[in-house]
Amino acid sequence: MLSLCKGEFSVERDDDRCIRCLVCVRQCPSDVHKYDEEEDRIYSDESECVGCQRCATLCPTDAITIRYKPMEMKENANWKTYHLTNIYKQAETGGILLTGMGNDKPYPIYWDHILLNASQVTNPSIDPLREPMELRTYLGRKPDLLDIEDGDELILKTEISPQLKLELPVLFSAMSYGSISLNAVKSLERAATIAGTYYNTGEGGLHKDLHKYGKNTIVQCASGRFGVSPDYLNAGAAVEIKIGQGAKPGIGGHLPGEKVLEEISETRMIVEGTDALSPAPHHDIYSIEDLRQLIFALKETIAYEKPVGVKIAAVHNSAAISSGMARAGADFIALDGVRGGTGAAPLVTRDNVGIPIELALASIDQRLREEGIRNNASLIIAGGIRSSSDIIKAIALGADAVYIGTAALVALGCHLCQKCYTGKCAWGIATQDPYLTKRLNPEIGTRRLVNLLNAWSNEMKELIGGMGINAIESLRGNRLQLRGVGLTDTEYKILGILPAGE
Amino acid sequence: MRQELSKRGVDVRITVNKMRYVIVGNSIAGIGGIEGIRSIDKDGEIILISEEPYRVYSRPLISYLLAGKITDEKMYYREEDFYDKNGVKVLFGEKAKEIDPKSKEVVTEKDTIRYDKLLLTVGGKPFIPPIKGIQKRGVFTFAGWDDVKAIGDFLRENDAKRSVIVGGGMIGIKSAEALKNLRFLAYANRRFATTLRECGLNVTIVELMERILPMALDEEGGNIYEEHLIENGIDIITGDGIEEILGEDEVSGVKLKSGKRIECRIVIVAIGVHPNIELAESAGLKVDRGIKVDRVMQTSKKDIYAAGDCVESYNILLEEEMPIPILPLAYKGGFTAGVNMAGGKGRSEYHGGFPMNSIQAFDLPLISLGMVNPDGGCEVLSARDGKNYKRLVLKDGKIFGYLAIGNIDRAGIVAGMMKEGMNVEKFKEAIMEDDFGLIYLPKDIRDNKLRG
Amino acid sequence: MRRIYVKEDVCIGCRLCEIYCIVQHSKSKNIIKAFRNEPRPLPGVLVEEKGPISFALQCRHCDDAPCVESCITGAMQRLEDGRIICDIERCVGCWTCIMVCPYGAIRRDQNRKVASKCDLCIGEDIPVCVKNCPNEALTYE
Repeated sequence: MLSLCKGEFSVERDDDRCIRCLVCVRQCPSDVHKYDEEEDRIYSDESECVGCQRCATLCPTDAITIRYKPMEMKENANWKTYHLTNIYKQAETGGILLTGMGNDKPYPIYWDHILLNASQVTNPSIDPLREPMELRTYLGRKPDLLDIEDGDELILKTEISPQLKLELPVLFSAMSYGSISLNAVKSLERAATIAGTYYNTGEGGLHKDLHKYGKNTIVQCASGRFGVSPDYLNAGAAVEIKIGQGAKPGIGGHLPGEKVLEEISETRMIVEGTDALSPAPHHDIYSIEDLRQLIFALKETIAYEKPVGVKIAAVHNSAAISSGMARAGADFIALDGVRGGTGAAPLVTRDNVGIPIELALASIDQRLREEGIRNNASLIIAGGIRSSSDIIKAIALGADAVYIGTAALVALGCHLCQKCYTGKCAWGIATQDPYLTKRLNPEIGTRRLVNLLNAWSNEMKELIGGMGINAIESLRGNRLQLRGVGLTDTEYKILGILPAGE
Repeated sequence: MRQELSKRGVDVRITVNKMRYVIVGNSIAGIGGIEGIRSIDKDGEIILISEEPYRVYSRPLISYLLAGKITDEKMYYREEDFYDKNGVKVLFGEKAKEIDPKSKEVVTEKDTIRYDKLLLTVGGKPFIPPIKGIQKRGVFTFAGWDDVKAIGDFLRENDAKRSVIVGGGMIGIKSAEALKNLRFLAYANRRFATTLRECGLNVTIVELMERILPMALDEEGGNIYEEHLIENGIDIITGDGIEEILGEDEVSGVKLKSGKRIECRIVIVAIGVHPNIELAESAGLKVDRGIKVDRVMQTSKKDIYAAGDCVESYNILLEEEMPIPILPLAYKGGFTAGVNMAGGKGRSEYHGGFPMNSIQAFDLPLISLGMVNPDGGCEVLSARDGKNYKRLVLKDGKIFGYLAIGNIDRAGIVAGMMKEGMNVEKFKEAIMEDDFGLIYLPKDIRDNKLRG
Repeated sequence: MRRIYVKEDVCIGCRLCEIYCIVQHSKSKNIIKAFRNEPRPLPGVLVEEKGPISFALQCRHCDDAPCVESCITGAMQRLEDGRIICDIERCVGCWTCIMVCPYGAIRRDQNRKVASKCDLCIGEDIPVCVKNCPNEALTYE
């Protein structure tokens, strides 16, 4: 059957510059470039190009330009190329369309409608180069009241719940070993250790090589319970129960059998070559009470020594659910918004299910405050955090910290080609192919991630210093530092911020 | 006492008497010896007794010189200032006649030289069989620079178009190629040849054994290489020897044992070399087929060392001592001797080696390592693709012999494994692969090599 | 003596090491010119590849260098700074060095009939293969 879908990219090769070194041929995992010895020429099969830019990046003479050049359909206001090509694909395959990374549809991005305040005249700003600034953040249940014994020395009598100590309010999101390569996991782990924060195993279990580095690890317990054992739970610094994911709320996960190679099968504790299916729900959780049971079962296992959190996708009733989670014993709540990433999800789910994280965050923070239980659990938000300013805005809106996934992968070299689900990641990130995973040198990966976190830390200090604030703690939930532009009254109300000028 | 002397202006620095090293033989092993001594002792006196009047040159290069592939200047093994830089006094054209180990003296035709440490690197000499007519004009050996000059002079004076090489060993093949390719005007027969191309001679190799390079090649390898030489215009007769060299005073041909006659004007005797042991023997040193030395290259007499083609080396594959006249061992042995003579530690033991040869005639390279033709009890793997040939001989899981023709590029890895005595049982098939390399080795061994 | 080492686990088999080595040892040192208009020298680095495994291999510049000890012409020599180079003016292409190199790190330059090997980029602080390895699989230590 003739495919009506053509490639989306054009490969332009400057023949005056091409030296036939064949780096492009060797580097393309989609076999786009082929060398013809007879003609001493490289032919490019553009239909297979995914636009990952690997060849263009490594070409030593800059002879290659990959240009986004989709077929120019006759679009109209209703029928976009997106719809037409999807229908062509489905007419050809009869299957659910898969995709990778986060929602790329033009839903409003509220971060881009929120502006930050700065001090002028009446409240002096602080120069982070000259004065100490603190980004340190503690995640975990905070007590309702502090009971302090007076005397010569003040003694804290209240028992403080276990806390995670972060040197900056950023953690690496749950990305399983399986969805990403071991080298990618190692990069995240080492960077988290150096930067004083945490990475999250996702539902892939903890590779044996990484058990010893558990102190910067959040171990996840998801519906498939892959790799979950008392050892695993105790290996980490915290446990996270995963209920949902922003890229695919309401559905489970699926790691195809061909990716379940020896080490993954060992780590996940499943038979080599079998599909790793995470069910859509946890089959033992149908209520907040059930969730509470699991939370406490886990807490029992880790002897109440570490925090246990719950992660959900941001959906319509997130606020009510969050209240339930906070009451059920969750020490932190992770919220993943509609733009959260994934290694593989049905396109239709990713693009249409969930709500923007900004609105979910504002409403949950508000609800928990109103109920007087905001201190019961810390709030980590996720899903499309792109910059230090997004983080500052999130914290002012009420988040305790943010998870970054896509941003971390981009730092590692991801070019957002959205083909993670093919397992042919040219950058060695979302793949288990031993030929490709080598491309991510964990030493370089670590360095790049640490650099990113350092850069963002410095920027965050500049931003809060500009507001006259010297500790991120003082910004938390401080919505007065935010103003909106171009929003509706309802949106201002939900976000709890004023329009610029007011 | 020292202070008193010092006050009187006397130099009281403790001066140890300088060592005097004497080296007999201006050869590769001798140079190794000089470099070995100088790696430890920068001051000692070195006297080199060189029978030949040349700066040290490389004997394997004589065939390249004869063929005109290199010029005289490139014959030298070290730079012109080598002796000066290393503080070596060279007595050119002097021959050591005897050694007195008791009085520690070397007697030459002109002088008697005292030594503290003596190194004999007197090399080998070509074996000349007792053939009738061997003394005739037109018969040459092929072992040194003088031989090339003599052959060149002869070719300039004589319209020689045909030659016979006695012996199909390495020297025989290299001299055959040189004569066939002769194109350097200085040595070509300018008077009789009209074009450069015609300078080349007809060459017939006569080998007594069943094939050429009988030690370095097996039967199939021999076939391949013989075919290759024949394709390049070399005639080869195997399993036959020279009965008589014909002619009046000058060579006019040879008569073979089989009765066959070959017309030729020039005969090159290339049967091989054997160690020069006369000097050592007369000095009462222990000799067998070559001079006997221990692991620090000392002979049976204290302070007399020997190295190079004149000694017996320990063959690590056969586990016995025998002459192994190859350049790598000569240098290594000389260097080891030098270090030990100068009292150095460290790289001071010589562990022997095994025969190895790299030969290339008419652009077909060949590398032969160790024992390619074992007596038995060995496993043999071989693979052939046209002129490309590999043969691997294994004994108790270790490599006993290896032969590569054509694709020789990674043969050094095999030689290294042989030297280490590595057990290759688990990856022996890989060694036979066309693209064999370190990547075929088990990861732990490979990691070791890559980190090494 | 600093040497080049490879981390096999992160060698991606792109062969940029070879490409930059060729450029460095070319006449013009201009990558496009060197590849298109000039005789191409053999790279001194050798990339081995089998399945997903690959690594670059350069001369180890051994302390006890068998190639130097075995060279029949003296072409293979150690410079004062410790590096080993092959003087191609003196090399006659007898391949004895190839026979004795335990790493198989010396190549036959079949055009010029001389041995070809890594010289650690004379005049450079860091050899170009190390400098240009996109995945830092090569180190100079």
